[in-house]
Amino acid sequence: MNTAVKSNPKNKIHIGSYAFDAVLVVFMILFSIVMIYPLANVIAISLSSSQMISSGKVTWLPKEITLTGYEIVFGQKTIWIAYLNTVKYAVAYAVVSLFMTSLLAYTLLIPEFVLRKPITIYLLITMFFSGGTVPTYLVVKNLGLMNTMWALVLPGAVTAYNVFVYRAFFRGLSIEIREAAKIDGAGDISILFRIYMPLSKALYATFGLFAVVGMWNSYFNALLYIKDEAKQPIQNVLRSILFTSGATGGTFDGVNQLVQSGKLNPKNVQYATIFATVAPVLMIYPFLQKHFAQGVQVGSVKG
Amino acid sequence: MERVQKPARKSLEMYIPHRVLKFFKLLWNQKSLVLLALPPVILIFLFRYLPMYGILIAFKDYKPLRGVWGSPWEQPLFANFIRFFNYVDFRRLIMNTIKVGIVTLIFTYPAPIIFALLLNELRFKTFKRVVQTISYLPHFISVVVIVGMLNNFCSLDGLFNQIRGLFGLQAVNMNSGDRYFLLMYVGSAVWQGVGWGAIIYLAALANVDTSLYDVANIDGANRWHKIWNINLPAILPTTTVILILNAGNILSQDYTKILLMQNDTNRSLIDVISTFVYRVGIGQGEFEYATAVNLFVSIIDFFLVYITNKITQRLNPENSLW
Amino acid sequence: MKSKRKIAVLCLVLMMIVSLLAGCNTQQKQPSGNNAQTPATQAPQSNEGGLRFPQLPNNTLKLTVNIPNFGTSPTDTLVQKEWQKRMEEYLGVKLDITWNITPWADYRSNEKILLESNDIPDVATYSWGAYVNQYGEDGIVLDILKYKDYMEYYPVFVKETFGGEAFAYNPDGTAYYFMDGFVNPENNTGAQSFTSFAYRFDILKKFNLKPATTIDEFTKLCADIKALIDSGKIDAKYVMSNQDKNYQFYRGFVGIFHTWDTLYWNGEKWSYGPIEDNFRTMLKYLNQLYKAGYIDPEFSTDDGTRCTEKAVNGNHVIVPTLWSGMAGTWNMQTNVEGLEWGLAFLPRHPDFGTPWKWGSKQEGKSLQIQMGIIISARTKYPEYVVRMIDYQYNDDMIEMMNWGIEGVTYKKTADGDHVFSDEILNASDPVQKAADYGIMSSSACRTGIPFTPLTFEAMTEQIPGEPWWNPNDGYYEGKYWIESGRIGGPESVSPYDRPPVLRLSTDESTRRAELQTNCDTYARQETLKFITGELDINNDAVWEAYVKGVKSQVPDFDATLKMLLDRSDLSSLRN
Repeated sequence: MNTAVKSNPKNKIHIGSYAFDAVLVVFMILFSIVMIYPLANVIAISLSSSQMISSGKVTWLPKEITLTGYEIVFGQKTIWIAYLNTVKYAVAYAVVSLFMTSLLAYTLLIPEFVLRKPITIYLLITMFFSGGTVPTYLVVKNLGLMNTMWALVLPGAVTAYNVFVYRAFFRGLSIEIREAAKIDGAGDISILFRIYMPLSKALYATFGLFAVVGMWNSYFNALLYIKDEAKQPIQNVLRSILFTSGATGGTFDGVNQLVQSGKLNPKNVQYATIFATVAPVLMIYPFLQKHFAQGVQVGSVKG
Repeated sequence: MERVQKPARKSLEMYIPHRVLKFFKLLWNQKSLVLLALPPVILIFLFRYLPMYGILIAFKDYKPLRGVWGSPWEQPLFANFIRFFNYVDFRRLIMNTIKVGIVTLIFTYPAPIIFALLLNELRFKTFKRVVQTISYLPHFISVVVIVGMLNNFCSLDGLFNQIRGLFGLQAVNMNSGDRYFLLMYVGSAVWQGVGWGAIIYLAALANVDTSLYDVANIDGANRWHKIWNINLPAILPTTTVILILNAGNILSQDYTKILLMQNDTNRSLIDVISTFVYRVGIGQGEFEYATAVNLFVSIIDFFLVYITNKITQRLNPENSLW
Repeated sequence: MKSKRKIAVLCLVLMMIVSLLAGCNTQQKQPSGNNAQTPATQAPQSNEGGLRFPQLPNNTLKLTVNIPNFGTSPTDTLVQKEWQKRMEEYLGVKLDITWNITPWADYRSNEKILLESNDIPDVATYSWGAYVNQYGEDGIVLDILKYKDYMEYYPVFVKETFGGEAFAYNPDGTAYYFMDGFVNPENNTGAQSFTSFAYRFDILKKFNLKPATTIDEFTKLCADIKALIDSGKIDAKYVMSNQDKNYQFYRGFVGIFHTWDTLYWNGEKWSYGPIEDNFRTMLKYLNQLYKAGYIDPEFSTDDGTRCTEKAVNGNHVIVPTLWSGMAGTWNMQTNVEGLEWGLAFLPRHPDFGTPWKWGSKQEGKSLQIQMGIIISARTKYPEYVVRMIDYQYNDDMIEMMNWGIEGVTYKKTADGDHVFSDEILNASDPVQKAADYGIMSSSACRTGIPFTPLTFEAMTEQIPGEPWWNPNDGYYEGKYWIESGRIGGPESVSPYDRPPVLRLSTDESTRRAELQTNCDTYARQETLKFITGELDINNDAVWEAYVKGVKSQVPDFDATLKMLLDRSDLSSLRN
């Protein structure tokens, strides 16, 4: 580490540092305004009347507040079942993915691992070559996974990309840890479970979030593999809501028909569905955020 | 030294080469590692390798009933590839794809890194959290909404032209032609991706030992020194890996976004390989052709990753992929 | 080290071989169904004395059917229940059907994957047109004509259509799907879209102007409106704009100039519209409109949302290219007091005669290639399944599916005409009300196994009207489907809508599709330049270069056109 620093008077450093802070804060405020606009716009439109939306007059704030969109979306009984389903799938997916990927990433960390190079190549190949939708569909079908949660959870649980990133992260934790543990006589399995995993909270928070969001936003796999209406995840149900009608238990005319007849600007309902998707994620994020905070003391290595 | 007479072992060693035996011995010694690696490897085998025969569709005249194996081979074998190379706009397609890919990488790769480093410097914890949460919100907004907004902002009386007006510039329809396409495409990619992409770097930064900062302060290091000497090295493994992996995605673009941005003034000018594949594969239902083009792109992707990794091996060997 | 690597590579190769073999196995597991029951061996002889039906367990026919959802789920609707009841009566068995319902927006892509995986259920709605022959020849889809003796109604329906058996069946006596039927006893040749210009009726009425009936009137009208805009009397920016960047601006004009915007049958041969002389004449005309400043310069880049914003905010006065229903939608979505969009039929060009409209409906009974119903070749009881779908072509069944239950959803007048019940007609949205009953002519709810034959009159009775104008009736309210046929008359039926039967092999279909896709993309871009003046339409050399450019988008342009002509069955044309 470079410690050859000119000895500056302390005030100079302070002022420079404060100036930097001030500029940074201003920048972040402007940045936030730009970043929050899309969601603000989405929420505003979801609360506005069709005429106001069609006239293009809705930007930051809703105009002529109308709750039709939300009534349609949340009024359908199916949506609550879908939320539950999706939570189930997302949690299962996150757990399987985090666990399995960690296993593989750890083994690739170790230079002496005899299968290291073959498995790396094995993974690399999957990064570039894939069979496509139809063969994958056939495999899932032949494994008997049709209409089960596992058809959504298993296929994408371990990806080469993730394995490599996990490995990079593990490398970022100092190498001495493993050496020390081995000297203490620990086997690899317990090293992984007792040392690396607990230290990787930030990694798991990150990829847990990615996994949950990934499952939350996906609809294509469920379209192919889930036939039961009771097992549909949230995106598929939201797509149907944009099409279906009161026959499923709600109190509104078919959204599709309302749009066709010109009475409803579909954005009103579509954007309510976007909000219905984003809101739950926003709610879990605060719980994960503490893992991104600074201050993890890696004090287990002495000297 | 007295030679110890070993009894003749008629066991395995006689029939299996010594090297193979050594290999399996090593395997046995590292059996815990092998055990750890086994479940994920099986998963990948099932869901990535088993379906891989689908690639053969690129070389066949696919008949669904007979499946991939029963379908006859294309005459000639590389017919689908030849067809692609003979495509009237082939050269423009490739140039467009490379152009869009490289420019996208140049901007979307560093942006999250810079943002993560900057965000990390914010002192006020709550403000920091709020900014971070806001930063990834655009990621959740579907591409249809984003392109709609873009179409609006870029029109003659849209936001961007109003800003231009402030500087005394004349209004221009940015949706027309391909002059502003890269700006719009890459700009919106950064807009949507910077916050979400930064999450992973922030996680890496969270693991930095704070005692290192204390030491740096004692040494009189300023902000910049700290970033350069502590933060950057902490995220170097992650950034390197992501760079190598992203190198393999240069030729793949988000075809939904480009399709939505196309109009009659720019259709062929912004056409890229992924939109082409979509048009041919799903629009015209020609799976073999689409598979062949995808395979072609995959092979190039592989070379790009290989080259990037080789460069990394020279510069920063411990972070290369292999 | 070298040895380790060799072994590693060996292992890898071994793994790949195993995976390939496993994949082989996976594929071979597929046709198991085929071996178990090959329909051919089970096809009973039909001889005098009646048809032989296989024995059903519990006298119940168990089926899985894939259908799309068009907005309202058919489950438990009145018509669906009646459909089931009548089917069971007719077939003499109980029906135990598992319906897999997918929203229409996703149905087609899902359908393709199932077809390509050879994983279709007993019955499915089909939407991929002539590709079905490929699947039929491969043995995935049932040849329904093998069970012709079990049909009573479909062959009769087929014979009553203009194309007849030559259209519905393959020349080798096979047919791999039931085609979607259409019933139009009143011979209304109306069309759905792009057959009228939309005008701001409020502005026309205010300044005592009228929609144009001829192209010269139209030019004058544009000039008048421009003058009014320039003098500030009309609060608008431009005379005209488009409805959506995805639809060419000239889509409304091609019919006027008796040409087309893509490959089409022009009455004598297959021609490519964008390189025709008529097309050039049209472009010259549009270029003049553009030069005069009538057209909003963003007409080719505004997406649907922005176009609607402009339309409801009064940005322009005329929209010559639009889908039916848009005018009505704009009227309901606007905030501006008194803003009213209305429609009038395409103005006529003296050199060409009555404008052609796109998508004129067929007279009498007709079938269409694109949609239909397929049966899996592996289905267990094809005799019953064929008979079941055939029954959907029975006249009483058609009446029930389209009108509902007499006395509940419709009544018959003294002349035998059908009228929907007051409850439906007076509802705030008759289409949705009809859909709630499961009436398939609402198009918002498709009961039975789509697609069942649609009765045009039932459909048009439900749809809302829009403001219309024609020289005889002045301003009134009319329905697009009806007005376009009434005002246009028989001469407005374009030759494009009455092409000869065309039998293409898979390769030939690919050639045609490629020509259309590649040339259309090129033509759309270049013609835009002619309209804006970037390319000089009056310069012959430039035009020739353009024509050459269009043709060079495929390797064998002229040969493909000739091929299409050769494959056309000219005897199938009506004269």
